[in-house]
Amino acid sequence: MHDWKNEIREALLQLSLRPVREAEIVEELGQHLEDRYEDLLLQGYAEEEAVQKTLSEFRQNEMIRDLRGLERTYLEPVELGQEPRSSQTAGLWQDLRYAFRMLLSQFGVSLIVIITMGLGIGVNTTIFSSVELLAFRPFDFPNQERLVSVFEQQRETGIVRGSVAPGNFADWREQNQTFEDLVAIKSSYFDLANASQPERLPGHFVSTGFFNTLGTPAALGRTFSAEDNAPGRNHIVVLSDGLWRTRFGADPQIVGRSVKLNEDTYTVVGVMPKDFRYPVGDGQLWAPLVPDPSDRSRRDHILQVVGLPRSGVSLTQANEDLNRIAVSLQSEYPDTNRGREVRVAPLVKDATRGVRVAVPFMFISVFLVLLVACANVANVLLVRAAARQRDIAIRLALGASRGRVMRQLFAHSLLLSGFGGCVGLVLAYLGVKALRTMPQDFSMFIPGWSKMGIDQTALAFTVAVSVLTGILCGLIPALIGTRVELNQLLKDDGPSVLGKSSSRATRWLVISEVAFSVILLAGAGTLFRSFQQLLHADFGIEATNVLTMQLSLSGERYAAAPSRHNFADALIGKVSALQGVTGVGLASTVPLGYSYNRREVARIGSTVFADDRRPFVTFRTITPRYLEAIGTPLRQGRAFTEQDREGTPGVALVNEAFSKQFMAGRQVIGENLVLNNGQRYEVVGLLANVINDDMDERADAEVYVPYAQEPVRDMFLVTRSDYTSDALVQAIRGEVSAVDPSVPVFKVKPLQQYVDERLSAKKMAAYSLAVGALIALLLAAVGIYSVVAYSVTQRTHEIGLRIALGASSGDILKLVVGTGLRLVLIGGAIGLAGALVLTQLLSGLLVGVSARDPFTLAVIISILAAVSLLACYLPARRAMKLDPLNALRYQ
Amino acid sequence: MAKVYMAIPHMKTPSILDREVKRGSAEMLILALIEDRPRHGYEIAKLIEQRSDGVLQFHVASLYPLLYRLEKRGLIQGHWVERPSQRRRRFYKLTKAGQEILKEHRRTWKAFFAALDRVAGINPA
Repeated sequence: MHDWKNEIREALLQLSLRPVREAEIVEELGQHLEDRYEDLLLQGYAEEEAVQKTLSEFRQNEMIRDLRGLERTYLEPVELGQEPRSSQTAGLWQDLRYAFRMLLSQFGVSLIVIITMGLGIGVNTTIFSSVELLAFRPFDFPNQERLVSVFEQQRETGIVRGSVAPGNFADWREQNQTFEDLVAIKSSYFDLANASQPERLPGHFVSTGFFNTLGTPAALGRTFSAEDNAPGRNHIVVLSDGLWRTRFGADPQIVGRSVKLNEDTYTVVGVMPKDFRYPVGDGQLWAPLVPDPSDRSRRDHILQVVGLPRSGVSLTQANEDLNRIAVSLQSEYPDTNRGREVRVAPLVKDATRGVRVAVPFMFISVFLVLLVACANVANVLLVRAAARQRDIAIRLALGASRGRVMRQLFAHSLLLSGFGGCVGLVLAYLGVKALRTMPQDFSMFIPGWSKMGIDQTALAFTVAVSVLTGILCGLIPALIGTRVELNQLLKDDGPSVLGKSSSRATRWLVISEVAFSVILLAGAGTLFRSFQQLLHADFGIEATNVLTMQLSLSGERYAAAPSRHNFADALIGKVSALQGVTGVGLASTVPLGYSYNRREVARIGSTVFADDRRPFVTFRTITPRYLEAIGTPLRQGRAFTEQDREGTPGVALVNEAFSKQFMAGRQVIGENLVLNNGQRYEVVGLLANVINDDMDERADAEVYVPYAQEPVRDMFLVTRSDYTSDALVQAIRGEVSAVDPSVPVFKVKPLQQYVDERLSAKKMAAYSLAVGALIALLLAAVGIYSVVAYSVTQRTHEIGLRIALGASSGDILKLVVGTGLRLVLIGGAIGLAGALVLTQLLSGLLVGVSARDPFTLAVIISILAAVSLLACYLPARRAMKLDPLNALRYQ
Repeated sequence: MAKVYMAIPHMKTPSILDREVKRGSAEMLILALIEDRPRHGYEIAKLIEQRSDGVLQFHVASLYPLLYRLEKRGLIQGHWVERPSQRRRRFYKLTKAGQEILKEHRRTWKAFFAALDRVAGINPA
C-alpha cells in the first residue's frame, strides 16, 4: 500500500506547521487519499493506475499555496550558531514567566525566601532612609548646602563650638569681605499673656536677615526685612506653624493681630511652614534681634551665628577672612579676646555631627544582616538548583548555552528579591514609624527627625538593594548549579546529588552566616551591656517619684532679690504641706535638664587664676532641701540651712569632681573660693558627682550656692513625693498660682523622663542592633538546620546502612550533629576574630564595658552553641528514628 | 459532458470574477452539504461529484484549504470522531454563523440566476 502520509508530510514540510497541527492535517488528508484510492480500485483501476491518479489529484503546489497564509507557521527559520536579538528579549520575558511559575510551584519555600530577603532589605531601607535624611539633608532651607555655622574657638580651653559675643559679632559683620550676610540668633523665653495663666514659650531673637539667609519664606504673611530694625518697627513676631495651630486655632487672619509678649505688645507678621524648625529645638516664635551699636560687650558669649558666604567663596577663605578680624580683635581687646579664634563649619555637617558618628557603624550592621539573609537564600536556591541538576544537564546537552541557563536561574532569584523588596518596603515603613515614636523632647534636638519617612531616595535605594540581593543570592547557585557533569549525572540513579563544589559552597555559606551573626551578636551584646551599665550607673540623683517643673519670675515685680527670695520661701512652704510630698527644692538648673550654667573660678584657697586662665565650673543655686528632693548625697560637711541667707557669709558646696580637680589631697571643707563675680565663698560641704549632660561624659566640677544668697529668676521646682500623679501636678500648679498667679509654670516633667530621654538614643542603638543580631542569629540557625537536614536526606542510605550494621542512636547523633557543629565552630572562630576588630568601632559608644568584654563574648558563644545544637538536633532526631529497611530501599 | 473543476486549478491567470464565482459556489456547496448533518471531507467531495453527476469535482488539494478557511472563519466546525472498528475521522458541522452565510449565498445565487434567466432565458430549474 502506498504511504500517502509520507507524501503529505513532505509537502507540508515547507510550511513549518506546529507539530500537532501538522499531524492532524496529515491524518485527515491521508484518509482522504486512501478513500479515493480504494474507490478507484472499486471502479476497476489497476493498483498502479489508482496510485497515479490519486497522486495526480493531490496537487501539492496548489494546496501548499492555499494553505500558506491560512495556517500559522510554527517557527521562523533560525540561523544556527547564534540567537537573534529579538528572541533574546523574548527569552527574558520567558525567563520571568518561568521564574514566576517556579515561584508558585514551590510556594512555601518561596515565601520563606521572600520573607528572609524582606527582612534583610527592610532593615537596610529603614536605616538608610533615616540616616540619609538625618546625616545629609535634615533641613528644608534652599540655601542649606551653602550655609555655615560660625563659632568662637579657644584652643586653651578646648572650646571649639563656642557661642559668640555681641561685640565680636558686630565687628565680624562689619569687617568681613566674604559673606553675603552673617546673622545672629539669641535663644530666649517669651511669656505669652493668657487669660488664665501666662504661658512661657521658647523662641529666638534673630537678625532681620535670618530668614532670607536661610532662604525660607513665610507660609503666611511675611518674614523680617532690614526696615524692621528701625525703632518702633521691631515689635513684630513670626510664629511657628505649631504655635499658630495650638495657640491661635490656625486663624487665617492672624497676620496683623497683636499679642502680648514679655509684657510688650507685638504684631504677628507671619507664620512659618510646618517643617521649619531652626535653630534646632522647640523654638515657637522669632522676633527681630535689633543690633545695638553701643553694645560691644565681649564677655558674654550668647549668640549663635550663621553665615551665607558669597558664591565662589570657599570654606577656607571664609575662615581666613573672619580669623583675620579675630586676630586684630585679640590685640585690641586682650582682656576678653585673648586666644579667641573663629571656626567656620558647614551648617549641615555641624548640625548632624552626632548622627554622623553612628553612620558607618549602623550601615555595617545592617549590611551584615543583609549578607546573612543573602547567604541563607543562596543556600536554599543552591539546594533547589541541585535538585534540578538533571533538568539543567539535559538542557545543556540539548544545546542550551550555560549563559542561557544561568540567566534563567538569575531571573528566579531576581524575581524573588523583587518580592522581597516589597516586603522590605513594608517592614521599613513600620521600622521608620517605630523610630519616630522616640520621645519628642529628645528627638526635637535631632534636625530632620520629624521628616523621616520613606521617600523617593529610599525607594530607589530599596530597588538597588533588591537587585543587589537578587544578584548576591543568585550568583553562587547560577555559577555552581550550571557546572554539571552530564555523564556522571545521567549515569547516577540516586536522588540528585550535590556536586562537590556545590556542597562546599553550601558549607561556606553557612560558615559565613555564622561568622556574620557572631560579629553582630558581639556588637549588640557589648552595646547592650554598656547600656545596662548605664541604667545602673550612679548619676548622683534618685529619679524615681521626682517631679520637676520650670518657673520664671519675670517683670518688674521680681526685679529685687528679696522679692524672688520671698516667692521661693512661700512656694516651698505651700508645696511641702501637700499630701504625699516628702521633699521640695528650687534650683537654677537640674542634672540632665538641658540647661547649663557655668562660671569661671578666679581663686581657690591660695591659688589665684590669671584672667585668661580661669577654669570653668558648673554653677547651681539651690534651696536647702533641694539635695533631699533630687537625691544627691552629701559626702562630707553640711548642706545649706535656712540660716544661709542674704547678709550671712557666702557659703558653697562643691562636688567630688571639683575636689579632685582643684584640691587633690587637700581638706575641702573650710576652703575658700572666689568666682568671677568677685564673690567669696566658704566651702561647707562635699557632694557626690551628678551627671549634667550626656551620660557617658565624665562628671563636671561643680559649685552650689544657696538660693537665698543668689536668687535667680528662672528655676526648676523639684518635688519628691510618695507617688507622682496628675492630681499632684495640678495641686502644685494651684500652689504656684496661689503665691502669684502671674508666674508661668512650664515643662512639667518627671525627673525619670529626663533620664529616659538621655538614654533613648543609646537604648535605640542597643535595641536596633539587638534586633538585627537576633534576625541574623535566627537566619543563621535556619541556615544550619537546612544544611544539616539536607545532608541527612542525602545520607539516608548511608545512615540506614550504619544502623543496620549496629550503629547506636548515639553514634548517629554524633555523626549528624558533628556535621553541623563543625561548620558552626569554623564560622564562630572567624566571627569572633572579626568581632574583636569591629567592636573597636563601638568603643566610642561604650560606657563601663571594654570593647572586648569577655563576659559578652562568653554569653554569645553559649547562645550560638545552644541555637546551633538545636538546629542540628532536629534533623539528627529524624536520622535516629530512621527505619534501616526503608532507608536502605531509599534511592 | 464537460467537467467543471471547482476553484482555480489549471488557469494560469484566472480572472478575479472567475475565481470569486468558483470559490463562492464551492463554499455554498460545502455549507449546503453539511446543513443536515456533519460530514467528513471525502464524503463531501464524493457527494458533490455524485449529485452533480460528475459535472462538479472537488479534489483534495482544493477541498481542504477551503474547509480550513471556512473553519477559521467560524462557519463550520471540525471535530474528530472515533467509531468502533473504524479509523477516526474529522467531521465538519455547520455553525450558526455558517447557517446565516448559507442563507445569504442562496439568496444571492437565486437573484443571480433569476437575472440570467430574464436576460438570456436560462432557466435553472
